[in-house]
Amino acid sequence: MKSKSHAFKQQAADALVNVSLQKALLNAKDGFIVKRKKAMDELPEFERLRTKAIEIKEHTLSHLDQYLEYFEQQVIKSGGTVHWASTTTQAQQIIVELCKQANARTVTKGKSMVGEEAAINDALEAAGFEAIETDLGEYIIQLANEPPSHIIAPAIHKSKQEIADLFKDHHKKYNFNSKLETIPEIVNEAREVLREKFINADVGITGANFLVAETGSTLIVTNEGNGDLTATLPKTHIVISSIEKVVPTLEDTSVLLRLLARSATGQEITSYTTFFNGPKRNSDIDGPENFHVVLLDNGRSNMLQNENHEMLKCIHCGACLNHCPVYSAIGGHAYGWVYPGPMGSVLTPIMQGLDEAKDLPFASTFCGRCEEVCPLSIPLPKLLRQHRNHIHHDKLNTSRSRLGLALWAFVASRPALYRPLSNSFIRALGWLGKKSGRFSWLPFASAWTQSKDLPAPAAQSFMSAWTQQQAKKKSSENE
Amino acid sequence: MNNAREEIFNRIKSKTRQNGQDAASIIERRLSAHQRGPVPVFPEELLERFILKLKNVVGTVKEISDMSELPAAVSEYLSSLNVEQKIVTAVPEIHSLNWPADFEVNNRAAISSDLSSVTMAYAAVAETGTLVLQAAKETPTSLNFLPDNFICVLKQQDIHTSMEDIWDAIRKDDKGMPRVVNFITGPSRTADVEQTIQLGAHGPRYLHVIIIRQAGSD
Ligand code: SF4
Repeated sequence: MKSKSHAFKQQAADALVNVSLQKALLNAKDGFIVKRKKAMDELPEFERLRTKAIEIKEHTLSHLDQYLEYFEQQVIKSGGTVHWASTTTQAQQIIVELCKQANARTVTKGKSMVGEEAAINDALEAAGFEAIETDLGEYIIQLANEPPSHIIAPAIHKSKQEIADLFKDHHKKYNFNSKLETIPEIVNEAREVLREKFINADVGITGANFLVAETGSTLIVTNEGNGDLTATLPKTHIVISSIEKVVPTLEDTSVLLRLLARSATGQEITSYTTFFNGPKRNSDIDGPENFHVVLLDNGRSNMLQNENHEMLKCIHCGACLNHCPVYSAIGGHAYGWVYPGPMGSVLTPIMQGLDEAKDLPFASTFCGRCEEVCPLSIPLPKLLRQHRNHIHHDKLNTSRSRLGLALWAFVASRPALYRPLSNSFIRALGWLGKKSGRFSWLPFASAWTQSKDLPAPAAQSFMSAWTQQQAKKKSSENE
Repeated sequence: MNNAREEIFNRIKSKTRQNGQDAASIIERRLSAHQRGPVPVFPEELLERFILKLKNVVGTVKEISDMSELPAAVSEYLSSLNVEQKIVTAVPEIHSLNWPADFEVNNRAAISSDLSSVTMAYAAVAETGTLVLQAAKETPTSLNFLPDNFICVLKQQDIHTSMEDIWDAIRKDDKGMPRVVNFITGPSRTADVEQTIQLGAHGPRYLHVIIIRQAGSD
């Protein structure tokens, strides 16, 4: 999809007054947090697993070319093909071409954030294919023509009623006319509609949570089983993934899997974890005849040499979103592209450009929860701070909003300071934020007062910005 | 064709700190060492743990002492679900059993009209209550995902402690990585509507494991 990250401020402001969204966010947030906490409490090995996971990722990233080469060789040995894409356009071209070669009409898709990043559906539809998302959440947002609002729960912002209405409109053509009232009814109808698609699809596209160099395996974790039907029934299975997803061995994969499901949904393991190794073999009586892996770079290789390489350790668990007071207040769509929350605020400016996404690095209170819950201990606040520094340096920000944001972060990260703030200070903040509407976030302070009070890294820029602003304000008052 | 592969590798090479020769032996060592990370420990016996964890994810279990008891166990389970006495399987050891005269056994991969399937697990992981299935002629993957009622036969001696044990077992078989390895933990589920868990999203609505107890165990 095309990025709307430049409109972050307006989108965030709209999200705050969207009643049904606020309800959905409230409902979702606690569920994720409570479930994750319970799973972690039952895992005394968590810190050791985390340390090992970091070692695995650091090691792999510093030998990335060799592991990718090894992975490719193993895929070829098992009868598959690896395709390389520097850019999302190249990824689109490769996939469209593969679908043409397969004489496809219908393409089913398992959930893939890299697929979202590369806007594969748009490309397939433009080329005349019917592309159908089969993960229930992805299917819902596809019908609604919206991007995902969460990396593991794409339709988290939708209410039961909204989903029932969408199904009513879109399932008429399949002769489904009953009024859907309960969740089982909704899930059942989607099951029946999508069953037909699974059976008739010519190509199945899935993502990959990891790529195993040792065996050339691509693997997916799902709960619905849609990814497995997508990979098993059509004649051609295409895997779309990105270059940082490779890990050395099956044992390394097991370490990361133990962290992934617990961090994401609080499950010890998802219902289905599947390793795919090439096309149907001679003795097989089912499975795809063709197996392709498309690996996207899209700026990742350039992240290797600088501090941003930390972000390449991300296993897309979503924990940083679930624990972020800003995400919890505004939801995923406000961020304007496919990756929301703290990980998105780091990634989007890298992939879409600092200019396009210049507000995202400021969508943080620096409460530090994201780094704390991240199974790879990715220093998200530090990376956001670095983006901010670059923005200040490149003067992409107006001085007024720069001060406002610095102030906001300063206050927000100090609940002790925030609560007894005098009215006049609040009024000052209101004035500073008037243009952007940004300080309408302040009422949501309760979300971060519950979390730890971490040192506020913005303090310095606050002090200097404050002095500057005072001087400026005086001069403008005198005008 | 684009030259993306070369571009990507050049970019990576120019940015990673490794020097060629040394690095090759480092990754080879790593790939062959199969070093395990921390593996959670649990106090229960393997069978007990497997059943405990399986029940947590809404799987059901029946223990029998011999393969010959399987037809009765399957028939009883289908009756309890109130569905037709009819299965699809591809496991020779299963379809060659003595099935009742009015029981229909189809010997093939699954098609969408199949309501119930029976297949054989390659192994199981006690840690998480997980079945492990391999794609093969006798155990085609569609049996695990298409039917509503998925019945899986598991031999007690095939229950291992952790996922890592499965990797060792596959290496010991010395037949390379199977085309598909499914780790299955409970029936299909979704929480995509208002974060409420609903079973039977796209895959099986029910998962029933029939464990054949190891001779000599009580
Ligand atoms: S940054 Fe960390 S917490 Fe956030 S999605 Fe990635 S791995 Fe999960």
